[in-house]
Amino acid sequence: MRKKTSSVFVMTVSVLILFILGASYLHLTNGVFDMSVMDVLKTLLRIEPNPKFDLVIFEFRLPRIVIAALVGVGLGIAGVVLQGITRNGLADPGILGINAGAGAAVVIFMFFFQLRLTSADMSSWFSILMMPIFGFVGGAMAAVLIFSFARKNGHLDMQRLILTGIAINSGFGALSLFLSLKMNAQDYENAAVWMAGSIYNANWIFVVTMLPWLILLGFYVYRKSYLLDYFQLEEDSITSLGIAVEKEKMKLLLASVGLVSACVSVSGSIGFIGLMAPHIAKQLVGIQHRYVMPVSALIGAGLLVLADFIGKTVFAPSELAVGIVVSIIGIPYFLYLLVKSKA
Amino acid sequence: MQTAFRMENLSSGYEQVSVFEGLNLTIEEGKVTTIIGPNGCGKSTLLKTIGRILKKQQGTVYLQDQNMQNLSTKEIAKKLAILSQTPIAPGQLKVEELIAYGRYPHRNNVNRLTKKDEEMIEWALKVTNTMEYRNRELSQLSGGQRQRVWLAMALAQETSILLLDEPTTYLDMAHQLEVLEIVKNLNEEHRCTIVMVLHDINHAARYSDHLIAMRQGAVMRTGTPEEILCVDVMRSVFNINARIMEDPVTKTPVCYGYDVMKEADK
Repeated sequence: MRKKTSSVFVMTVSVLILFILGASYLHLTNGVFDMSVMDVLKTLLRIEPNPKFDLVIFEFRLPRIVIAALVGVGLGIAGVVLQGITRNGLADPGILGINAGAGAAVVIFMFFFQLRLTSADMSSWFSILMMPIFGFVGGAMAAVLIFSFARKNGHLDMQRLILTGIAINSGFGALSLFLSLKMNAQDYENAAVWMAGSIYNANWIFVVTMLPWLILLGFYVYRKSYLLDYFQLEEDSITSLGIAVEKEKMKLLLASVGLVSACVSVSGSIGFIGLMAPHIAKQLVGIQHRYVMPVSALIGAGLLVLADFIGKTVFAPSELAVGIVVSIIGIPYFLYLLVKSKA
Repeated sequence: MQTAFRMENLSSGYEQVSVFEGLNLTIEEGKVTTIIGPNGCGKSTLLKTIGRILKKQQGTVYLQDQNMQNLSTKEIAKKLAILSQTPIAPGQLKVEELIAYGRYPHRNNVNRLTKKDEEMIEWALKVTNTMEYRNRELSQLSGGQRQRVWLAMALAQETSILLLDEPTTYLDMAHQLEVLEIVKNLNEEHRCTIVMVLHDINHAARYSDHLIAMRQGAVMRTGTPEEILCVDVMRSVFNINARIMEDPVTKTPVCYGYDVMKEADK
């Protein structure tokens, strides 16, 4: 049996990697500026470099694909962890209010500082990173709030966690809406696009800032993925087996907050990936988390790269925020899975 | 005589509600001890507290003469296993996989089972008569089969002490005895210390060396089945007028009928 699961796993992973490569290829070659396969290959391999192609590929398309893939990986992993420790298939980074907290922080940032920022002459690194940093701080703050409300008698109650998450979510959502309505049109548009989840302004600085978080926390969580298998039992049984339930849940929760914040800070709030990817992964490779987690990460990456490609091309030259595309293509598939699994 | 558990001034409960206070009790090693009492008397709470599933509010529990507070949860898991009242596991999980979970406290590499792990799993399958459906998924098992699989998981934990919280609930009469026979066998053949909570006083009397009778958070009486299953104790603990005789086959006391005490009798 175990052998069978692992061969299914290897096959699933291979197919998913091919899928991501395929989506990346479409993403690289298509767009406002079409290129042939040869052009792309030549540029990547540095044969007869052409500055125009260089610009399009290295400055615009490649960082965007990489960011899409990284954010997908992060949200896919965080979704698995959150659903695992809350033992609730509806838990996702969005429901925990981390997205909303980050969104509110970014709106506040835009509301109070944007004008001064653009007028002041700051180093490019600083101004590019200001928004993600605010997003990260906001996400972390939302997480701290949720934790402090969800704790009761030194015990982290998972039902309370989800309920407070939903409450904080709508609280921060209202705050963002209130502030954004008081903004000038230009700032409002920026804020709205950011909140809908978009990566059109991706750049290598974003990649460099989020990659260490993703690698560090991703590997940490993967090493702990076996614990999520045990968390499928009820709490008494887990305690009886000698697992320090509270401590381990806290560590995993903090790690996933870190992952989500890192993602949200560069991409804005992209919903549903963290919810869908784990479900799809479980349909594909079963319930052992050391298989589910990497598969969910790859599904997240594949979905986001594809969604970003669609968002960029369907209504070209204007773009659809990737978060919206994810919802449009993801939800029907998700519903289909639900219906199928019931039958 | 070594003690499996010694409780000193133990208090426990849920949040603000105290279930029992200042309890002093010892449970001997190598024996089957059963806690009996009416609903809400605190018997499950006591079992959960000494099994550290529930955090005690006050007092000290000594596990084999070591203060439990000074032991890590993993160290405790090598000494005692608990089968909770309503265990839950995903239905797609295979019997064997669930039993392997029981090896957690002994495992260093979480992704590979050692030879010792596999031996213990085989043993647990054998003792609980679950060998024939080891490859089935949990959702395909009947209630009685599932309960034995859970017992097997607790056994795979390789502990000398086993705590069982109403292990026969929801089982029919034959399956109830099946589980209790396994428990008896574990105690006699494998020298396991068993502490359990049972509702059926006849089962408690037949399969236990010691009984602990509780009521409203207090230990009313402790003693052998003959000492506990008698008219006086049944009156004070359960509020019933019990009719008791000796089972001619098992030579243990049985309650073959009873009436609820009227106000005037109290």
